[in-house]
Amino acid sequence: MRFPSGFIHVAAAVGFAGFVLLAAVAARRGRAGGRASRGRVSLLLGWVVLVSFGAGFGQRNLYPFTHWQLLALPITPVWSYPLILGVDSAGVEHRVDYRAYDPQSFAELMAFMRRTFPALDSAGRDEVSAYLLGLVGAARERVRAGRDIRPTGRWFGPFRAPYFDLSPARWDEAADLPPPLVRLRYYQQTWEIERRRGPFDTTGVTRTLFYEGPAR
Amino acid sequence: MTAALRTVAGAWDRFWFTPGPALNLGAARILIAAHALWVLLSRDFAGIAAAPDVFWTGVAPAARWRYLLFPGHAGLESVLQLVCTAALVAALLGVVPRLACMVAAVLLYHLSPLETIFWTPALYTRGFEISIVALVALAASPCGDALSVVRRRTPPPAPSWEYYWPLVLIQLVVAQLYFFAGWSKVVHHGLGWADPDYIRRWLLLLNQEEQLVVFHRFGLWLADRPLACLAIGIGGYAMDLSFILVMFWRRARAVLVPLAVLFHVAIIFSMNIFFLNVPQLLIFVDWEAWAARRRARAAPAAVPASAEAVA
Repeated sequence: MRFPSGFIHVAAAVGFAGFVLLAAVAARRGRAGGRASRGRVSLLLGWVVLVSFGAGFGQRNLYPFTHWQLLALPITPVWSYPLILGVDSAGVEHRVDYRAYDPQSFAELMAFMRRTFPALDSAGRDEVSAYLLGLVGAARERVRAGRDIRPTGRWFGPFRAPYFDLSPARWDEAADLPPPLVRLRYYQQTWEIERRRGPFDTTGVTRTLFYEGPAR
Repeated sequence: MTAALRTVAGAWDRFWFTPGPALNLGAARILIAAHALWVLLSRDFAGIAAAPDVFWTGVAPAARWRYLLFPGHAGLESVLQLVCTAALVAALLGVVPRLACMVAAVLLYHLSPLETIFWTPALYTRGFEISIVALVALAASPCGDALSVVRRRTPPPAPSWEYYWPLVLIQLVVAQLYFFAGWSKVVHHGLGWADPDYIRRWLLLLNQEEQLVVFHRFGLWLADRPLACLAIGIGGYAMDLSFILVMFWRRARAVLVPLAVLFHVAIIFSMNIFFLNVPQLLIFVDWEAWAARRRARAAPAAVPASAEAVA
């Protein structure tokens, strides 16, 4: 059954707000161990059971009560994914370390590039590109200065909470850095899943440039 | 009340309101707060909020109002992120724990969607889903009666239903993660999810995009073996749908919880996916029983009265 997206937002907001309100009511310490206390807690628990199992069985994401759809969606034989490359002043393209886009998570940024970026007008795309180029440049300068590539979570060192999707690190030291990047290029890659043997096999991978950012 | 209702009420009471030790709830408070702090301090939600307004183009008004997230308030988000951090530290230490847990829960509900909101408001697997629900439950309970730096109760409080139901609720939310992961496979694919060809395609896909691949040998090795793919399919289904048993059968925890951990470690190396909620599986450990065993081992052996008489 399909619901309007606005309905889902309202349902989710009500689900969480109700949970918080009932928790506040249950937190009132009546006579310790009293039936009234248990009654309030039972009401809270009933609400959570209803909302959480409703979200799960109904396969609706009512964050924080979620449907946990993991590896459940269909896979098409042909897959596509964006690729952002940095370009130096000589016109040479370079891979960009995923951490250079922090605070934006790389996988979330790529999802934005797939879904929203193509629909932006020219000025919007230029603004996005300039912002990302700024992030990448600042990250490059941090590495060049011997500092952590990311400005946040430094105190955890290698134990920083990773992102859900793992990505390879490329710019660990100054020697790993490309020359200063002056623009970003945005490609759409497409390939047949059964033809490609691993990440370094480009058999059947087509790459289409769909946008080139303004030069800095 | 009819007999059937009495039976249901009795089962409900036994499930949620059995007396439990304060130590386990205190340990849950520390685990949840520490995990949330770990993820929160590894992100910069205020920095995300500082992105240009163009990033908010695709964000529906309903989504903005749902989380009270609006562009142009990076400074406010910085303050809220600091307050949330302080609240989690307070919860961790057991300082005004109920207020701290509630403040942290509400602020995490507001801040955490920033990680994905530019492309979807329906986030999950970003590490805060269980924490938010758990922190609200802890806020409604005496979660600071044990393992608190400011409140030391000697002797420790007697077991009570008030220490039990929040722990069971948090465990249920964790168990739901696996059960609904299995249910979603049933809904979208039926038994076909366990088809070796389908598993193979997932393994290939998650080891092909160079920007999202750190490990690829193990995944591709599995993809080349139909029997391995079949085992992954059947094993994944079995583990997901049976995990809910941990809520009703304690012995199942000794098998399914370590199995889940192994499963997630294998997924890191075969699919390049890091499941942030794994540390929260510690919610199933009975810390009180563990502490009691340690106390029993440490206690000196009793000297028989006859031996004393001889000495």
